[in-house]
Amino acid sequence: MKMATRKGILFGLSIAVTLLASAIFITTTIRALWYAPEVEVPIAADIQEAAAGDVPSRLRIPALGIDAHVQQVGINASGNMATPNNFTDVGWYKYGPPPGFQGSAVLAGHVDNGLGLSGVFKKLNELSVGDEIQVENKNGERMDFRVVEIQTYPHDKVPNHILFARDDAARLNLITCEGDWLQSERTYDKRLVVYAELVR
Amino acid sequence: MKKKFISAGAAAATLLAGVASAQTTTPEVPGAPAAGMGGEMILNFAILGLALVVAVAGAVYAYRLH
Repeated sequence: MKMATRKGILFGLSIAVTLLASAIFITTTIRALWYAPEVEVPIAADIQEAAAGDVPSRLRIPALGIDAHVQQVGINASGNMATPNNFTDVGWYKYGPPPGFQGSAVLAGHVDNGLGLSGVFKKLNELSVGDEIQVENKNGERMDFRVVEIQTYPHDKVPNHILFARDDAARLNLITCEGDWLQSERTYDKRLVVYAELVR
Repeated sequence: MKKKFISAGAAAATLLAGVASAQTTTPEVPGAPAAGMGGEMILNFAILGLALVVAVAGAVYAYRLH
């Protein structure tokens, strides 16, 4: 009887350990490869939201073969622009101007995923001044932008007042990570920013 | 006693909410996003490998016991 009880406990424990390890394996795989949402915080100030039809829905960069869905992102708990919840979409900063309107519309995309495989903006550094970027909004209208400047900044020296400017021309700014991994801060040490201006 | 726990929880929730709001008083100019996770690759591979070994070992052990 005692032996049977002990065997039952061991059996239950081994099943529990197997299930727990399987759950860790599955969630780590999903978060590393497909779905890594950031926790966003609500904003305190009143920000006028873009009209539903002006919200961007697709980003196309013919020179890089990119044709990506656009998500709306806000701000994370660190006060930074949040990122899309997967590695194939790009995120539009929803508290800023939409593409085609006065000011800088900012789109962010991952450079790679949690297993080091390419993200949507892996080849962003291959863009050149003069390359074309197309954005389609939810009304189905297409806007064409032309790359005017490409800059790399240390991760803590990005000129955010320029990146997120509201009073300049109708710009489209793309941003991703670059450089070496900083383990202490769990981020890359550089940011690549592509500045583009509205052509039509 | 139960009420005390509830009010303490509510106070903590209010405090946390206040902290979260205070972080976003100037949403017009947020910080730059961190859009890359490749540096987590080694850690993720280690977790995946360890979890796989433990899961397989647990399943084999359970099978033999059964």
